[in-house]
Amino acid sequence: MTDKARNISLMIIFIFLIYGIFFLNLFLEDAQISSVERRNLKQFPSITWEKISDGSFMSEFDDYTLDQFAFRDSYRKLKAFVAYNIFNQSDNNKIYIAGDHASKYLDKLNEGEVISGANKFNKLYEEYLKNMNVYYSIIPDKNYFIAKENGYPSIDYEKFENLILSNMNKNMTYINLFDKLEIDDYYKTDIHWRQEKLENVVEELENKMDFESVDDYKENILEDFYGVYYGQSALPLPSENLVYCTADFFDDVSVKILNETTFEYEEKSMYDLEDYNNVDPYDIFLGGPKAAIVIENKNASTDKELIMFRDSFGSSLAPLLIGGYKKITVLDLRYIASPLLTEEIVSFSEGSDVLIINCVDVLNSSSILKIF
Amino acid sequence: MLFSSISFLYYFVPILFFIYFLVPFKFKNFVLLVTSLFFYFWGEPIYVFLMIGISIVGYVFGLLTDRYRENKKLSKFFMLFSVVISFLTLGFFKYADFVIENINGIFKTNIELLKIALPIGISFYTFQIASYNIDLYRGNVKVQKNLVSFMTYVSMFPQLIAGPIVRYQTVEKELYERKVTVDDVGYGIRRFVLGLAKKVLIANLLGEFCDISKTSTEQSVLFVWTYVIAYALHIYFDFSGYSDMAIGLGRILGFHFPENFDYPYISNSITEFWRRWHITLSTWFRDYVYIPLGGNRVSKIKWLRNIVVVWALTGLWHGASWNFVIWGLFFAVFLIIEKLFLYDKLNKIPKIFSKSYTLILVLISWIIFDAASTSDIATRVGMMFGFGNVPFSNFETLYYIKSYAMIFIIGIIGATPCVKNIINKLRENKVMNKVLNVSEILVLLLLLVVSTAYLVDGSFNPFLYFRF
Repeated sequence: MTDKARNISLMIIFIFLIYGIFFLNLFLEDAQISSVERRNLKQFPSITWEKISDGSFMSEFDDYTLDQFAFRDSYRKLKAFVAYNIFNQSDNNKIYIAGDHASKYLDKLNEGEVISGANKFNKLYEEYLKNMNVYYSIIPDKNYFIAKENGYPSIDYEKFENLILSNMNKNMTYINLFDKLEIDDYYKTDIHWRQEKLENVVEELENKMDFESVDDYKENILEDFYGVYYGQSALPLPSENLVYCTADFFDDVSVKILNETTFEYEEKSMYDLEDYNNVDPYDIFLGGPKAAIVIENKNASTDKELIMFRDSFGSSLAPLLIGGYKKITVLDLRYIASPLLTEEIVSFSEGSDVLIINCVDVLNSSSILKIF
Repeated sequence: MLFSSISFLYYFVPILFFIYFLVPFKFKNFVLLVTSLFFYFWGEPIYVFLMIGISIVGYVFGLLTDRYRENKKLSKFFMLFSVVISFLTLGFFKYADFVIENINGIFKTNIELLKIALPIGISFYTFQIASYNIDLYRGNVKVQKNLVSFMTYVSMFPQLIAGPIVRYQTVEKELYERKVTVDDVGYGIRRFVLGLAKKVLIANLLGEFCDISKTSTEQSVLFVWTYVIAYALHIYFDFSGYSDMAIGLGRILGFHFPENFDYPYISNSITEFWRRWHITLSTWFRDYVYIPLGGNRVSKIKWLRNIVVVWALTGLWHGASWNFVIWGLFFAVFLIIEKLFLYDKLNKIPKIFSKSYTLILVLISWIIFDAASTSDIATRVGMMFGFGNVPFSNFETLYYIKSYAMIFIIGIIGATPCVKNIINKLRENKVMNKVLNVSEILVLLLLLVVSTAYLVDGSFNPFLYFRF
């Protein structure tokens, strides 16, 4: 090929590519959500003089062009491929693959956040939980099991645990779950644990909190589960089966979820299969992370009640605990502020059990907890 | 608007090129002006009027400088008036808070900071306007009577916000008459795509490494060394990538912009480094500050003073902070040492020593440049040489070095002319030249697609030189 022919070819290819993408972006219908990334995509921004003069329209438009780029997912996959295979990077957007598990590494122990988290729970204790049996637990993230041994950055978990233990009010009892779990108790492509693998966790809670749950569950399978790391890594990871556990006595269990607009509880099922089509299929467990949920076991052989302060991991745990309680109130303080915990939402009855259970990620960025 | 953004690449460029190449030549400057103002407006919706205002001042006083050419004093006054307006504007927006901070510090006063946002590219376009007015006064260029053409020169989007600093005389003729050939377009596309890849695939990734290293709580000697190497490569690929894109776009539009970088890290002395790094800035200071001060044709004391003044100003041009002044003076010291006795010796010793000497000094200079404070400079330099009470290496250091090793390798090779020399050698063979021409198209296409993929996926994309 002569130099002239090269320049002509280059010009034609460049024009074809630039204008091809321009017209594709212009005429392809904008998508509302990215199912693989589990988020709403930016839409064309509204135009106002104010937004133009302060530059926010421009930055919103820039974000819009990124989100609505034609064949965006293919480009993201290409980027992940290049990062892993050409540049030989160990992770893509902090997500790494160790064995058949994907995980997002956690390399910074935010001591201030961890201490602040502990103090927030102390405040909660002083305000609401003084005359109750209060327990707390830390759910290790997947990195605890696979990061260091596979050569990925990791926080010092011993230090993390000690920070929590040394700062939490001593009237609250710690239940150690670190040695009750292993990596295969988590989904390979997701951050969460597997409900059907929580036998050891439930047993430990039963022992320490002195209740007796049910251990005869039926496992129900939902196929084609892609966890959060599938979309974030943009790598061709295989799908998994999501398993949810049911028991005969669930027929007599009611679930009510707080409507965060009306502030009234509304009936819902323990596992709503329609939620499997949500942006996060893990929402199938109690509808996902909701501000407040009340689970009542009408035929319970006990009057014990449990209040559970939790994050999304708690959604799959709570159904396994209801066999040992008359009522469980599940609260997520990321979505409801502590001053709103009125009698209508939750009753802090003397002698009830309380379980504060959060994963490492939440405690390491505890400013998201609305405890004031 | 960033060159390395989807809005620029796949919205602005296709629309601009369509209009620009559709209209007859007499309207091309107007199209370029309007699109350039829109380009600037996208990033600076208010300050675009500031740029227009200063441009009009430069234009009007240029006319007056020319009109009263017979009256030397008046002509000089008009030239100086415009130059002072340009520099006062630059001084106010860039250095007002720096001055206030220092006054507060020295006199223990409590003057409130103005907290004015720095208009993007102000350091570049004020220098361009000043160079026009000075060159016009000196008789090096003809007066530009057409406001559209003058403002096209000042605001031309490829070089508007991060250089290269294009002098009026460089594009004077092309403002009236320019041809765009297929070869120009081919060359422009090559430069642009290579610049984009340098920015997106190397500079941005090394910038990530720098951020990780700087914010890490697990510091080590090795981490600081790799950070400074990464920063040196990052700033080079970031800035030279932008210059490549500017030169490439300029060529597609029919302009020949000057080169701004020439493999600076292969230099054998600091003197040579500054002949290869940000060439348009160092030549600007040479022609408009150093030589008017007398250059080296004065007494030794004055000559040394001239060097110190020029390099303090060069440092200050990069930012309103003492670390930039120290950075400039750091170079001044070594330039003086070289000029006094070292330069000749450096040319005689084996290249490995002269290159190592230059590289180590340049690396230390980047620590000064990127320091958050003057104490930060001492801390980091101390850590580099084992005085920081940190281990030589640790787990985190090794992880990130391993993860970014390939980018480092590509960056180091790319910062030298090795690949260019090999390709040029191969091109001497006709058959190989043909093969390379085909390969070049495929490589450029791949680079464009992969760069786009990184832009679509990523969020780390700031241009360093936007703040200057």
